[in-house]
Amino acid sequence: MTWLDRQSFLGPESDEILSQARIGILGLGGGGSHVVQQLAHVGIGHFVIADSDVITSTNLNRLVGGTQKSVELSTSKVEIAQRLIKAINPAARVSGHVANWQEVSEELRSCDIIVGGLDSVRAKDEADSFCRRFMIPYIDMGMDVFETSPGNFLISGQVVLTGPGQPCLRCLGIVTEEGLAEEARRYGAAGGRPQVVWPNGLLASSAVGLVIQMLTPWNESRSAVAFLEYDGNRHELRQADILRRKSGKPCPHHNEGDVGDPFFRLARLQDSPPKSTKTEYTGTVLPEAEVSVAGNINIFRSLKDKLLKTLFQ
Amino acid sequence: MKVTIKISGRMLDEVRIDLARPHPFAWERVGFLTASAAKIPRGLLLLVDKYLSVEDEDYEQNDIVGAQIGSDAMRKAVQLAYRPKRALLHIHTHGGYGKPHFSGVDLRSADEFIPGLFSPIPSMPHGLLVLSDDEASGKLWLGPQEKTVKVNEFIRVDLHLSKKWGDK
Amino acid sequence: MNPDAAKLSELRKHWPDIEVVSADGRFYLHLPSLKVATLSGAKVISALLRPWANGDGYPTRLFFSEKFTDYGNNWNIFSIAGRSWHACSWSGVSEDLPYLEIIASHLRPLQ
Repeated sequence: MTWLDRQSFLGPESDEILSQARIGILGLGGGGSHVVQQLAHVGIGHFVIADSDVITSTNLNRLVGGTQKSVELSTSKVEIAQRLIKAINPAARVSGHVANWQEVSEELRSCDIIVGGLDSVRAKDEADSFCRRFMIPYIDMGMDVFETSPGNFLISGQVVLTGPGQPCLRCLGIVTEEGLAEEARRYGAAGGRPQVVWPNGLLASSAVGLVIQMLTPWNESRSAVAFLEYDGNRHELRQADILRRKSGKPCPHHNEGDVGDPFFRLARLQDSPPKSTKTEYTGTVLPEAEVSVAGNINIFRSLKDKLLKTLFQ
Repeated sequence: MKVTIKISGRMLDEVRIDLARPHPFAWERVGFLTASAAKIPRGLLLLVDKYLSVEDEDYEQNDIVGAQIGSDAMRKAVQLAYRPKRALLHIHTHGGYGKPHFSGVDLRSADEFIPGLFSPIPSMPHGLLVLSDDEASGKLWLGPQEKTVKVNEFIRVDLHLSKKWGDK
Repeated sequence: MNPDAAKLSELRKHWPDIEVVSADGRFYLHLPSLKVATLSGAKVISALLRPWANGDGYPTRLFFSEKFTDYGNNWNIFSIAGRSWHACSWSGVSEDLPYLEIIASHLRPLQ
């Protein structure tokens, strides 16, 4: 008898498959924290998690695992997630990074599936591209609250599963040029929007269901792509119509041949790894390693010939 | 060092179908996969992006080995992996079930031609794969004079993400 | 979208090892060995040039493999072609310029 007995319908090898699976979670806020908790409960064995933030009081309305005490201590969201996972499944291996996910590219490449709980449109776009490049199925979550008329609000959201050969987040209208431009005008600030726990929970649960369906399917009907749209006023979650229109059409935003690391050279395979931003869970959080250039930079004046002289000395 | 190879389900099925086709005189068919590479912590990730089926006329008659391919087949394979630079993986199947093993002929022949691939394409690893009907084995050369490493993990990327290279 | 052949050719006179990298349906120019002078000696870093506008408010942009903490403002981190890159806020460098001028202009904030 094991703690996973009640999910034995996932198959006789499901415990082993889930314990060997390596899942990346980008962003540990309202959506990501739910995903982490559920994946821990279901027996996922390896986590690579990244978020540069610490918890603040305004996260408490939705950040799973967050407490008043963690707010007082300005605990990193990574540490909150690590504690949550380890409390549920002490055997799980957690590689936590108090950093933007872009800083842990090399480790994320080794994930089987990546789930994104990212606020920023640019971050979603980059995560989608990254996952395509390393043939990693990517699940993106997002929720929003819109004021439809004074005093009336619409809660909405979506969960999208995509991957190589499938419509990307741009094809599906999640990432748009307008959204990127608007975000750029706000200097990349994406936070501060209304967020509440129950739609996050629903969307996160759907994302986890997609993860498990890929690893230990429990029936014949599954898809390599999904776009679940949530209407929080009607309490409906349904497949978005755009998916039907885009399925089967080649993605114009990515070249299928753009896989792997174009900068890879066999001769550099044994080079030492980049400075780590990893925190080891020992009950305390180690200081974040800073990525910086040692010494000072002294560039000559911008006259072209002097610059070239500098560059070629 | 841990070596992982990923392939899409669609491509793996295409490879299996091709390798299962009978040949007028060769006992077994062979092909080539090209793969891009990426460093991962304590390891190497290869991502298969193309498959080259060796055409019937590029096999040479040989009564001793299961399949012998001529220089044209090698030239086509190297051309495919040359721009952009890709790892070249020779692939064939032994059928049956369970973890397949390389035959003595497989290994002797690979020791002869795989190091030669580093002349046109020195910046990528190259190797040898063998399939059974549900699993795979692989060896990778990290240089013409280097000792080989074994492929530790085979991932099929599909509706069902599987760490076995079996059928869907 | 492909790089301008004439502009690229001019750039290759100074950096023969420049590489064209395909990502996100577009191209980037990779300078694997951009040397910069530092007070503690010359340093070689890698840079990635995006000589086209992508709607982020920057007509062109130069990304670096490392962040220069003492210079430039508002450094941000990006994921491009599977790797991490850093760029500071330095806009207004036109995509109509020769690639060499674009690079020189983007290095100006590092003075």
